[in-house]
Amino acid sequence: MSAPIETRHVIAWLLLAAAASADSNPVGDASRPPVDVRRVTHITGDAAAGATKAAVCAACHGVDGNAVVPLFPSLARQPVDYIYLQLESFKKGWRTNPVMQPLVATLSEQDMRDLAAHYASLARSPAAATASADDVTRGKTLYLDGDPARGTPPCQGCHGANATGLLTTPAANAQRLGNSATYPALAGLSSGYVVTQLKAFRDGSRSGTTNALIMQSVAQTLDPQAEAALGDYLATLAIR
Amino acid sequence: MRKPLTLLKHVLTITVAVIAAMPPPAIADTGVGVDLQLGNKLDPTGGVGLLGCDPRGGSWLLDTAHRTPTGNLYTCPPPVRERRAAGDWLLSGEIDFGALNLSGDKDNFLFQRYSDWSDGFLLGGLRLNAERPYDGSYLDLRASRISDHDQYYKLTAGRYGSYKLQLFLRDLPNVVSDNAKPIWNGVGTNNLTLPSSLTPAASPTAAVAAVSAATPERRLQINRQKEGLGLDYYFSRSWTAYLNITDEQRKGVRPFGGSFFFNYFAPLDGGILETVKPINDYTVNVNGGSRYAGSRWRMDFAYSGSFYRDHYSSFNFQDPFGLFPVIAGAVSARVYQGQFAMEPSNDYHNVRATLTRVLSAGGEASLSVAQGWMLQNQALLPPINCQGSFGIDLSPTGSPVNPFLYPCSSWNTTAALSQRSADMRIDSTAVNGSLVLRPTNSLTWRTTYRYYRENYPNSYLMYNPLTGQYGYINENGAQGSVVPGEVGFFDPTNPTLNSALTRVRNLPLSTVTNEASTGLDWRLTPRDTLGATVTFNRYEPENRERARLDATSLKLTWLNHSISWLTLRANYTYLHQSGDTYNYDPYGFTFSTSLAGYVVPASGVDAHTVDAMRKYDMSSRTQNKVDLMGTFMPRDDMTVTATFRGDWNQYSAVVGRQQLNQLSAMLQWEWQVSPSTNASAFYGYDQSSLHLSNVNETAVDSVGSDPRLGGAEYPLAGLWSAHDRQGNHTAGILFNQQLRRVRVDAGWNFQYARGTTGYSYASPLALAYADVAALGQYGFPDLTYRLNSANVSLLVPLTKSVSLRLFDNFEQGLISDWHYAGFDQSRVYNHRVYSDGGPHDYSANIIGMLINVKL
Repeated sequence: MSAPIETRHVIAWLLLAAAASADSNPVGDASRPPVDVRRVTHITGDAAAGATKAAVCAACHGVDGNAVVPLFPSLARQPVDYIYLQLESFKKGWRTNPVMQPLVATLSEQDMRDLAAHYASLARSPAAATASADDVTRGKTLYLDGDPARGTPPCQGCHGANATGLLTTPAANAQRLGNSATYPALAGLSSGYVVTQLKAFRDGSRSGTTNALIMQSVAQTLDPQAEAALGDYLATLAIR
Repeated sequence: MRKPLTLLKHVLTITVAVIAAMPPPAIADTGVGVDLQLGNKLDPTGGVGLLGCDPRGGSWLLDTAHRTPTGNLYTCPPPVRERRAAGDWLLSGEIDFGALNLSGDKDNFLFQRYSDWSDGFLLGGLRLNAERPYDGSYLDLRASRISDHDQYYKLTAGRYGSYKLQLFLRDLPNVVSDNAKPIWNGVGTNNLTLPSSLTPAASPTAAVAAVSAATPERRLQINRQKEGLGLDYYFSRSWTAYLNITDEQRKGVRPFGGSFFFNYFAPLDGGILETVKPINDYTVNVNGGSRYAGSRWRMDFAYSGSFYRDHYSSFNFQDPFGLFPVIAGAVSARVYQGQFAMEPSNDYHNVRATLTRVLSAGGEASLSVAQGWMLQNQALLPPINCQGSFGIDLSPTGSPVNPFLYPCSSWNTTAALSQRSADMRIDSTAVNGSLVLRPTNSLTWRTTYRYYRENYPNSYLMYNPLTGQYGYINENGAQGSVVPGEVGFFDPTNPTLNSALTRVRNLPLSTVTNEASTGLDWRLTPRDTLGATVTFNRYEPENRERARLDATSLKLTWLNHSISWLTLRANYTYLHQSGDTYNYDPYGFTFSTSLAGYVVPASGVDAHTVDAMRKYDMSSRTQNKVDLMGTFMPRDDMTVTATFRGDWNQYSAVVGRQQLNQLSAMLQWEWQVSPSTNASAFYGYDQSSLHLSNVNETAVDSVGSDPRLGGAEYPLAGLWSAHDRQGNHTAGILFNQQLRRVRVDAGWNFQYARGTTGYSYASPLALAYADVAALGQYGFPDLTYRLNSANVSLLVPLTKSVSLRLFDNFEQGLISDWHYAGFDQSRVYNHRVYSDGGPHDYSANIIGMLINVKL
């Protein structure tokens, strides 16, 4: 029963090393115009089929979509469109990552849709958190109110008051405005992953789409303490 | 010289020094600007409108055009400037320069009204910008120069979140006539004298007409020059301070009046003159204060001041025509000069404080208190400026006495005044309170209270200590030189003047206003909001026809968003105004009848007016007002707005204003196809309809004391009524398109205004001149004004940094105004002299070429 998990752990640690290396050596092409994802078409997929195709993904992102290693993102209950857009981004090189890009290269269009539908159907658990209450409180204030003095907008404007995303059900997605279904649900992501991504947005290494441009300008207003506070706060949340 | 200007320079120097000494707080810049949007008729946007749209759109969130909460499309953002680094600074700039070529009726004042276009070179625009990213410092210069009188320059410097300093200079012309033919010498000064070919008070009509005909047409215009300084300083995130100082000087000439008795009544007596008045004055405005904006409290402490000064204190003009008394054989004194006092210098101060507390659940309580003072203490002019005597000389008739002839020396000195300066002031006090509560998420309760008081503490009695007489001399002595005793003053000891009905003192108009309102906004559903507000206003004026005027209104509102592509707004207001007993003559204390020694004439004191008269602001009134607005969004990039407004007012008046109705409708279409293609069109119509009536008095002097409508003085046969209608059509189309590398802007605007005045009357007695009845007319000719303007502009990039802008503006005006009919033949009729020839048709075109260089 436990052997597969241990195997996944081994694979995960190997990929972790590669991913950490990727974060410290950004390969994004800043000179290329960002891909305009302001108007997207909602996609659908077969969640059951996706479950059968998720074995490799589970190594890093967890069998139930909740990542075991803090540096990897939990995919459970992410919006279908968000997951699909990230897979598409890796596949087409809009987003660069030496681990993800080879894995996605072999996926078909239907595979990506099914995987997105599969992970969107799972429940998100809170990440393991050890942060202080003060840090969490500061992160919560930043998330809900922003910091006008630094020009930081409230995160909840795009990610939802409970960090569950603006529209997370297929029915809601069908009525979405603009591309808000491509904004991720942040509740329950590990603090380490959130901090890493904010840093990547801040230094420009995560780029490629117009969504990334939005986050790049937001991340410019954050310092490492603010990034950590946000990560610690988000890690305490869950999506049921 | 000009002390305020010197003061301005000192303030500027001190301000800059203070800025330099201040520590730079690092907080957001909320901005409090100088009071002016700079621009000109060539480009009213001040350069913003020429920039175009950023092809990337307005936001990375949505690629569609953004809308206001009520559904209107925001204008597109301009493209990001290309900037280059110079040390720590990022620099950008561009300049537009070129030339204009005018053709057609290019001097027509309607074409040149607020511009000073001429053939030749111009600086269309200069925009320089520098920013230092690491500390947010910036410097911005904008300028445009069409001519000496049509130009602006503005410098803005500051540091985001720390301070902002603005300096500007602006010249703006206001052309008021292009065909004036003033007969006087000294146009532009305060002393108009007749040319040597005319003799003051002794020129025949033909001689005056000849001078007028020979006078070349000239332009009359007033040039406004305004300079200003604005400073905003941010002490912290919450505390800010601001100071704005402006100085506007006005110089020029405009048509004015000048009457010497009633020329229509006596065609060959006295004179009615359209003079040309000099304008040479300035106003300094100061506005400063400090604001606090916290999460719970907001405060504002402010001072506003306004200081007006006129270079001239008086304005004199010579009258070419003679005066002739109504007494056979008598002779009028040689009164040949008229005099006006210019607008008096005055000061205005206002201090105010506002305190606001944010309450839970979105509620708010606010209290504002303000105190103001308006002060006018200008040195007074002597009541007359003649030499010798004024009035009627009876000696040629053989009369041994001359009771209607008065020595100028008793009146042409300031010793003839009861006080040497005006010493007038108006104090004002305002208190405003408001409370907004949200007892539930769907309910908002608003309550306001307003108290406003204006107090006139000082009074003025026109008393001449040299003669013991009271009152103001009529028309610089002209009227008293024609009609015996109508000189304008009262003398209790003189039998020819002790029954003179004349004004002797000022009229204080103190008022108190109390207004309370309460209202609810109820969000019935997330997409439906209903509102109701009840307002009670009590107005208590002193020395008016009513001591109390109450107005109660109910306003109902509805806002609906239930259809995704439609926003509907509807407002309805019902107002009823009434008051206590209407006194048709509350002004008796300002007339000589209130003074000791007044002798009531045998026929009684003339009634002030008919007792049925109801002045429109004091009249009982019922008002119904409707506003409807629909904003349609058929596509993400398109908006259609339809509005209708109606305002119906019924006045309770047999004599006076009876009805005023106003209707307007507007249909507007806007399509923002893409950042490179925009189109819009609109059509609007508005109309007003005014009904009023009045009654002419009988010509029989002996019954003047009867104020009753239908009585001896105001017989029903003297009733007349007028119906004034105004209808305006406006329409326009705007279009811009990027055709490969060339940007095309095109527009067309149309205005048509038509004014009609009809009248009816009970009998010829109702007419000012009974012989008009024989014409059988019941209205004046229509006044019409039709304006078409079209423009097209091509912006052609020549290199990466140089563009060529070619444009053509065409304007055509067709005007029909019977007031000026016949002025192309003569400006002199009997003893009436007109200077301004009035508006007239025109057709003019401007072709322009501007080179745009990105610096």
